[in-house]
Amino acid sequence: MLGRITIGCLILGMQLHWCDTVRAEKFRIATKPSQEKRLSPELDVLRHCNGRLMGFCKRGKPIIDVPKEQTNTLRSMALAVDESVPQVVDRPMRLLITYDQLAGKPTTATLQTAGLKAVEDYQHGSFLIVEPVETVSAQTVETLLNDEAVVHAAPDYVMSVPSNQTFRMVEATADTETPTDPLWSYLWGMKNINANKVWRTHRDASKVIVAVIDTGVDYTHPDLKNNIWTKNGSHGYDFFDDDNQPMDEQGHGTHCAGTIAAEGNNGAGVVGVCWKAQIMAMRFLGPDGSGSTADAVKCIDWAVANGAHVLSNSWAGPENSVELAAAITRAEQKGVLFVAAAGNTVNTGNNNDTNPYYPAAFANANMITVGAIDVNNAAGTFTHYGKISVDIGAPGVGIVSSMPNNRYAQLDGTSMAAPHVAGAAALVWAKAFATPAQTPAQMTRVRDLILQNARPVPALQNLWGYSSPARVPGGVLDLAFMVEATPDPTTPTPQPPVTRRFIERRAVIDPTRLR
Amino acid sequence: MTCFTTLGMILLGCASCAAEPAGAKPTDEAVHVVCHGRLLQGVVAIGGDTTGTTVSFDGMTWDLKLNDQLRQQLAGNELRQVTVTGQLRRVQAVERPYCVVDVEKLIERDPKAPKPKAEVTVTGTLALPASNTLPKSISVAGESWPIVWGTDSKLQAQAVALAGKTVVVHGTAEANTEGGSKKFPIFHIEQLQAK
Repeated sequence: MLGRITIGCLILGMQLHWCDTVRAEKFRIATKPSQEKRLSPELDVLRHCNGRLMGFCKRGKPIIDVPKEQTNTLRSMALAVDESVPQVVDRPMRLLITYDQLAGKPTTATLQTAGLKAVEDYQHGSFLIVEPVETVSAQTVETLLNDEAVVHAAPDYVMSVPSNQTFRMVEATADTETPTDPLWSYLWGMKNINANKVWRTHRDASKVIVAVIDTGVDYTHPDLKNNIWTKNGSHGYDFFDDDNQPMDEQGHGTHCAGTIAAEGNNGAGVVGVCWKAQIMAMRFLGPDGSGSTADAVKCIDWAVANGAHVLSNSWAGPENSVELAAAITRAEQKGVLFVAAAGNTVNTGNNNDTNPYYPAAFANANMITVGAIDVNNAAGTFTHYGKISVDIGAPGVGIVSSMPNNRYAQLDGTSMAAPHVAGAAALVWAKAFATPAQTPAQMTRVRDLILQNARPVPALQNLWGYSSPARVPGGVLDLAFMVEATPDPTTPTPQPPVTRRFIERRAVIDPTRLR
Repeated sequence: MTCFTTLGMILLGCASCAAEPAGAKPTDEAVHVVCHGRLLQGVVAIGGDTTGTTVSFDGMTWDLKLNDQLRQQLAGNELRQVTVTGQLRRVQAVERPYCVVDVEKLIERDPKAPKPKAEVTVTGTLALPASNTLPKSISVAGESWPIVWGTDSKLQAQAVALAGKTVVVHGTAEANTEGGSKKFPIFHIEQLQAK
């Protein structure tokens, strides 16, 4: 529903934009000459690079596709505001309609009814470029609202750059609390759990293997590929299709993986709780996001047998399973931490103590079950809870992370909260043990450090955090305990200069929800 | 044999529902379905967005909402092929939109028997197209379901005449392959009457 409202707002904003006289902010931007079309996840407005960048403003403020944060980024990329840049004229205003790959794409009939005609279907980025046949009307808005395939619609702004300049090199900041990943400003969750403060001294968990048991992982994603576990050419296993190519066809697992360990300070996309870690890609959920408990069990056993230290599980179901419980117990006996999402129920949540979802409600000693909080430290309206069965809260509303095909998206759910804890566990494991190993002692230590150092939030104290061994009622994940007052000067900081660059994929991000 | 014994047990458990003939027209806005497919229990999904039981057929998978009695009767039984009768609705969950059938009746079916397409009887309001064309969707309790019409010119003319009105339509449910979507079905309408 929110998405639909957003589309409406976007398009209505667009209508206003087209109807009114619009003042334009103009920037020159430093970049290298290129004949390529370039897209930027930093700037939803950018598309063409032929000599000039233009970001539109309305009544002195950026219109809906240029939220404040993006404008700052835009300004930082601009050499100067250049009023001499001529207006863009005589060019048909176009729309970019991002579509949901699973829901298909807007049909020809939809476009005709909306008074639009397709110019190009950019399938790699999952969006259509369309032009209005005549004028955009309420019918356009209504038609797009009624098409389930439409995720996002926005004007296709004209952007161009001088052809005789080169990329402006941007030194990676010495202050590693602020990584160079361009979507950093949207990652409120990392700040909420104080991960950024820890990164000054601890950000590398490359010896820790985190299995993402989910819809698979896009192990070719530029923000993930350097943090993917590999053994004999395999990056995990696919028990949905029963092969060794656990490529994500849905997106959910890739999003979870990005929160755990999207490569940090690489000038692209997002950053995970760990800048370095080994993501083991496990797939048992199909393209529709569902799967069988039997295949989940196989994933757990496979990941444990192949050395995973942490299992990240952002899935659940209402039916108890002896086999699933046994698999988690086997992991427990090997010393593997099992992080589980508490589950979602729209608007109301659910008490897992009285109406359990599994595996979240299992009471194994190696389990951390995670509820979702929002940017205000309030419980997500959907989050499952339970004083006994849920252990801790973590960011799970408006979480931006990686998606297949070099895209990024913002999602809600306890599925997004659990990877924050899984990533934190990996970071804690790497700090606590020079040689991470599957042992009950190490696993217990990591679990206790996570739970005992939770930040109590009074408003959440009736929701979770009452079970042993760590009783922090209303506790929220917080890595502040890892912060060291003085960074170790002998620790090398691998920060080569990186290039602020455009990325040739459009971020699937709804800018209005990022404000 | 065990499975067919279960069949009787489940039928008994739904005696009141079984009295309703298949394809009966519901009185309020609803999508009434009769489908035949493979039953899977112990289903999990991203974010827990599932009822835990599904039926899969013809490229579609629908979650099944079972009452306690049916749930207890199914527990431990290895039913594979079933016929499900109930009301279809959409669930806009947090992480995963999906279809749910509120099950009224569930019986085991012979896997070797011919499998008909899923039948739907929909009471709802036909969309009012911009011009004098065929309605492309039917609104049922606030949810819009895509529909297509056959080549029957009489049926098409009737559909145009009843656009914007409350009707009862009957047809089959098929995977919405346009754009590769398998989330929600598309209804192929074969019969139409004003309500």
